[in-house]
Amino acid sequence: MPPDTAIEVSALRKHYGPTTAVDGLTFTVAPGKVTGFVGPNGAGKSTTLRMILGLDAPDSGKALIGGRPYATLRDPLTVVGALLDAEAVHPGRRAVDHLLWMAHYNGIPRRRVTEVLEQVGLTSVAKKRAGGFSLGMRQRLGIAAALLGDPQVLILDEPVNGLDPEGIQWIRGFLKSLAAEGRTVLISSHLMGELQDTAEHLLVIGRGRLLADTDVGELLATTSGNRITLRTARLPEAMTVLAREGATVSANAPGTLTVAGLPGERVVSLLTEAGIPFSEISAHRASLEEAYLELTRGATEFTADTAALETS
Amino acid sequence: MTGALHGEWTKLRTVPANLWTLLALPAVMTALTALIAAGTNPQEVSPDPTALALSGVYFAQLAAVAVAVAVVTSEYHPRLILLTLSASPRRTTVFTAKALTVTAAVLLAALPGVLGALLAGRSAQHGTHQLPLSDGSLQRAVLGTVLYLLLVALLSVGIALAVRHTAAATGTVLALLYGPYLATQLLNMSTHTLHLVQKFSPMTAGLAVQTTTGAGTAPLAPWTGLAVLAAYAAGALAVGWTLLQRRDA
Repeated sequence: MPPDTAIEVSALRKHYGPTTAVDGLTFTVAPGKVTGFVGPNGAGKSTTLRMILGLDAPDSGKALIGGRPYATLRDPLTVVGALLDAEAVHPGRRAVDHLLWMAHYNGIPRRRVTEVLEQVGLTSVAKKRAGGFSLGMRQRLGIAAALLGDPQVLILDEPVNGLDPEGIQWIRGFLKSLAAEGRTVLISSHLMGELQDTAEHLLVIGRGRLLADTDVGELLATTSGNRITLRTARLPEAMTVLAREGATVSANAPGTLTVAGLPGERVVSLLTEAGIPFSEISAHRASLEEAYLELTRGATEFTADTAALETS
Repeated sequence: MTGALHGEWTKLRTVPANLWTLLALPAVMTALTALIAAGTNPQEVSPDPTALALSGVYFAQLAAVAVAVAVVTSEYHPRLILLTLSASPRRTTVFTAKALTVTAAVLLAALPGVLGALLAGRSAQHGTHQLPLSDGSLQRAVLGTVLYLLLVALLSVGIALAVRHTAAATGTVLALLYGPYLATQLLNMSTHTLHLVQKFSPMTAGLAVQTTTGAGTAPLAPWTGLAVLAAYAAGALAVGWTLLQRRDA
């Protein structure tokens, strides 16, 4: 039987001075899939991850990995691999040495250093000093460090940050394959779009509170509702006709209408009867971005208009 | 603990700047001692030829401070401490591994440094009366100077753990070492005050261990003086350890 490798967080709370960073978080991250941890900047994601890793002490509540606090793990790098800050490398140390000291700390054999460098595609720069690395390369080095102990649990804070498009493609596939092997994979991001096609499950937080703990498919279905989109050159007439029949109509792009509250056949017949030409009628599919905006509305720490007030 | 020691040692030796600084310690100590000793007038009898032969320590200790501070503050800018404490959540283990690593590294540099200075200093003071190498007080001065460098390094580790910033840590250590000494040079003070400052300042008190001529001006017995420095180092380490335990990474 595989070891229990779920991450359990219960009633976790943390404040810094007058600011409450994490306000009673409770969730479980299951093994075998990629779980996305999303929220606006300042929502408390990194603080939560640091508390899971025993780096910051919570005011109350607890965080367990496989039923145990991180601080009680023996050779923790072989149980949990984490990337918290890609900049956390000494600029004067070679990439291979950066991994070597970590390996020594937990009695991990030296050959793992070679293997993970190979896995993240840094073999050719292994003997170069990390000070000359681009953010993308540091990100890869950070991921290599997380993989060093071949851990069953991976916790990556903003792993996509700074990667080039090829790197983004690579990490998506890579994380999915790690989850498919039965590992627990938790990745955070402040951009929901980054998690589209990668995460199966989502934990959405805002201002330190859990806003949603949901399956990606379910979330999309809820946000999409029973809506229909279509294109027409005669927007105002089409809106009048449809609204008269009780539909909620919105024009969110030039020449494009989103209709809620009427079945597709009814929309087609109403527009045909009124002699309004239209095309590209389809069921509306919300993007994760939309779903996220809906969830985090009002939970954003810094919004555009408060920023404007501060600069005026 | 073995893993943490292995890890910390690897960290220290894989940053070239650390190696250069450690190499500088014996080089500076020997060269400076030779210069100072050669500059003294052979006609004048030096009050303590052995202490003079080890005087390069006043400058060489900077290397010990620099390495000790770097071993700690390199964890904080950037925040490597996140990785270190992920690899070893038991913070006392990390603390002990760092202190032992610094002790070992400074010992490796201090041994050739102190011996080299002694030999260079003695040959530069040709013509003056020297204690034989078998003399007990000379041997105490040599061993004491090595211990002095180790204690200065440990004092630096403690202070660096508390302030977590290279410039602030180096500044604090240097102020503690040279500050009282400079004050005694610049300010007009009574003999009583002077002795009080000398007794309680870590550098002057610690280097009392170098006196081999009973008539020396040091107000403290050699080992007592070193004990004063040891107390400073222990205090700094205790503060550093406590803060490492209490603070978020």
